[in-house]
Amino acid sequence: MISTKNILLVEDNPQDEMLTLRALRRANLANHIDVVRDGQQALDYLFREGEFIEREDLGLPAMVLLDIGLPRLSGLEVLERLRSDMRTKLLPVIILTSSDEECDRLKSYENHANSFVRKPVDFTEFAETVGRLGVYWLATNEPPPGR
Amino acid sequence: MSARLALAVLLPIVACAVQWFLWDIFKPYAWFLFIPTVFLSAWVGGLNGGLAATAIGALLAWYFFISPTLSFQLDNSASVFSIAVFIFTGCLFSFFFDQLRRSKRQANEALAIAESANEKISHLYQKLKEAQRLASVGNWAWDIQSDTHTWSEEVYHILGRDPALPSVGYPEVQKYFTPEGWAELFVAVEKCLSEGVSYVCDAEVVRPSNCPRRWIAASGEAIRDVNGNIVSLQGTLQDISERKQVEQSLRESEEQLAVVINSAMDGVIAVDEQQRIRLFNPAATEMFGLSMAEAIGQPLSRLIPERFHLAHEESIVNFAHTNLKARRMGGMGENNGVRANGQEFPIEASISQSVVAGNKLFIAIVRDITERKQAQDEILRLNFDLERRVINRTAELTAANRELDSFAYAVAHDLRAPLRAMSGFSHALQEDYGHQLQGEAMTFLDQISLASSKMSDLVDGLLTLSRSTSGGLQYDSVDISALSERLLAELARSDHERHVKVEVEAGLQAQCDARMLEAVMRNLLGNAWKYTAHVAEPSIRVYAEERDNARFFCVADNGAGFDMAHANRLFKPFQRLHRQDEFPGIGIGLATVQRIVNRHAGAIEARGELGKGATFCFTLSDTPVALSQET
Repeated sequence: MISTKNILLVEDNPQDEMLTLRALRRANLANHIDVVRDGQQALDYLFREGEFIEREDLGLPAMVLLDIGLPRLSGLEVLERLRSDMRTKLLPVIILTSSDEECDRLKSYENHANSFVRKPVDFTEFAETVGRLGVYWLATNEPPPGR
Repeated sequence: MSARLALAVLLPIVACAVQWFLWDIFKPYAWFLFIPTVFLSAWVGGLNGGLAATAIGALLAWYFFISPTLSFQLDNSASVFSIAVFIFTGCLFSFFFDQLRRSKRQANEALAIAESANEKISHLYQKLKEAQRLASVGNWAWDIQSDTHTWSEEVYHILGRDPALPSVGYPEVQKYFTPEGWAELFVAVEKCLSEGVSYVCDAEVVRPSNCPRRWIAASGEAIRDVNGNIVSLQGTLQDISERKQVEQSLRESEEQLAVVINSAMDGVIAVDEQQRIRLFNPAATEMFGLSMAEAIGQPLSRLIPERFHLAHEESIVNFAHTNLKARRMGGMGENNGVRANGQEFPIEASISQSVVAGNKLFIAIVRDITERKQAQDEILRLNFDLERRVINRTAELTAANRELDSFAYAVAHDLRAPLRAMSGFSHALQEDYGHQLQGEAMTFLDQISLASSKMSDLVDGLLTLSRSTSGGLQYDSVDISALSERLLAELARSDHERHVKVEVEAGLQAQCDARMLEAVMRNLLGNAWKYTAHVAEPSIRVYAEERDNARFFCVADNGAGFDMAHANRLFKPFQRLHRQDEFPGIGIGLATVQRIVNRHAGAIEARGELGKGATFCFTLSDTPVALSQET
């Protein structure tokens, strides 16, 4: 059974956004996706601050797909903030990035990212990867107990 | 003596007995045996023996043989007379022998005295000879009238003439002297001969055959007779070669010392216990702008700025009380000197103390270090400047490196995204609108996908290349054999349709950065795998060889190989020796390999032949090169 909870996609590249959404759609997860386009927006969305202060409290998303190269706050900084806040400490965060830099990977895991996934260039691979991710985190994986 | 006296007394008694028995033969000569007896007794017994024998003999002859016999009666005057004559004769013998004996004794005594005197003289002569030899002094005499020259043995020695030969006359003796020496001596001798003036003069002696020349001091004086005429000359020769030599070397060392002091670059200043200047060399003159005449006798304080006077005096007094012989340059600390015009300048000095002719003397060697100070300041300034520049450059370099890193980072992210879009959207087009596309349209979309994936490979290759030259190396012991086996196994898994014969030498070890070496082996083995694709019996071999004092690790294959004429292009980025349709690739692998090997201070070489395979061999050094030396 697929969770009714949302997926939050943090992605500044509109083409990547479209492709990611297409891939998720193909995995039948399209209805559950919210998209923000920079690090600050992501934090505001999750903590219902700034422009998202009026957002309906639906609880935390089932997972966050977080790019690293983001305007304002980078993905790694966002991850650090999330992990240092009691509310989002256990929130599943999947780093989904073009980078294959080791230091990025290391920093992600140091900040307790739940996964580190490199976006493949080839779309077939990309679609498969994203689809598997969505299915895994929304259907297979048991989320942390709610507070 | 008593035995002789007893014999003298016994003799007349024996004569009396003999004559008694033979009286018939001797009768009437009563004194027949007594006269020779008295003679003998006087000879044997001397004065006392003779007188005693005379008295005894007279009494015995009177009693036994003068008539009337056997009585002391006398019957005629002739008998009395004969007794008197006998006594007189006996006395005469006695006195005569006594005198004789006395004379003989005196003669013996005189002889003994003469002998001992002789001995003494010969002893003294020996001593004189010895003394002359030890002192190297010989004496000579010249009797002018007979023209005889007498030389003591030492004169022969000094002149180097055989003592068995006769002495040499004047002026023939000239041959023993150098012309200069003789000229002076000749004048002196002539003056002595004519005016009686004594002389002492030095002359150099030429000695025969290879003997070194000698210096002598010759002296002479005239001897006059009662009328005041000069009749002879006498004098001495002394060998003074050693003294001359000592004088010579003393003079030389004094001259040398003077040259050293006068030509010294440092000021040399001697000061007595009252701190008055006693010696001031030209360097000091120049340094302090004070002539030697002005400086000598002046207090040392004149050379020192006033504010240092007290401290300086104290330090000299302190030094004088130490047992130190000298304190080295700078040992007195850094000081200032003052020139005659009042200008101060930095000096460095060493000081020593010694006692000369009973007086303490301090000798200071003073160096004007103005220029050195300036040079030191300049060096400090330059160093500071250099350090500042190094810091700046390092900062610039760090910034540039960081920029480069962020550039590579950006390349990684930002170049991939459009590629993903190209791939993604052409895919979406195919999926969503594929049924509307006609003819080659689908092929074109495939080409877009292919190009994007090729571009993606290029980006990956560039990143690998860039990473191979950045970051530090972590040296570890790496098992190249195990690494090769693992990578070959990976290749075999990913391409399980192929069967490649693989041979890896066991126990290949190297000190290097493990991940970098993995990139090297991955590229070399990947190439070997790729280029053996069209060979019937592909084989790959990993081994080591020792040559040129180095250990080479080699990867050899029997694949497509290459033309050695193009070998120099192998290691250049994006340069390929095969067409894409033969062997796909981006031409970045070997460039990466070479950079990594260079960073390990190693070398890489390639051997190959078209169609016969290729071998790549590389060395690694235990110590990496500095980052800045990379090309």
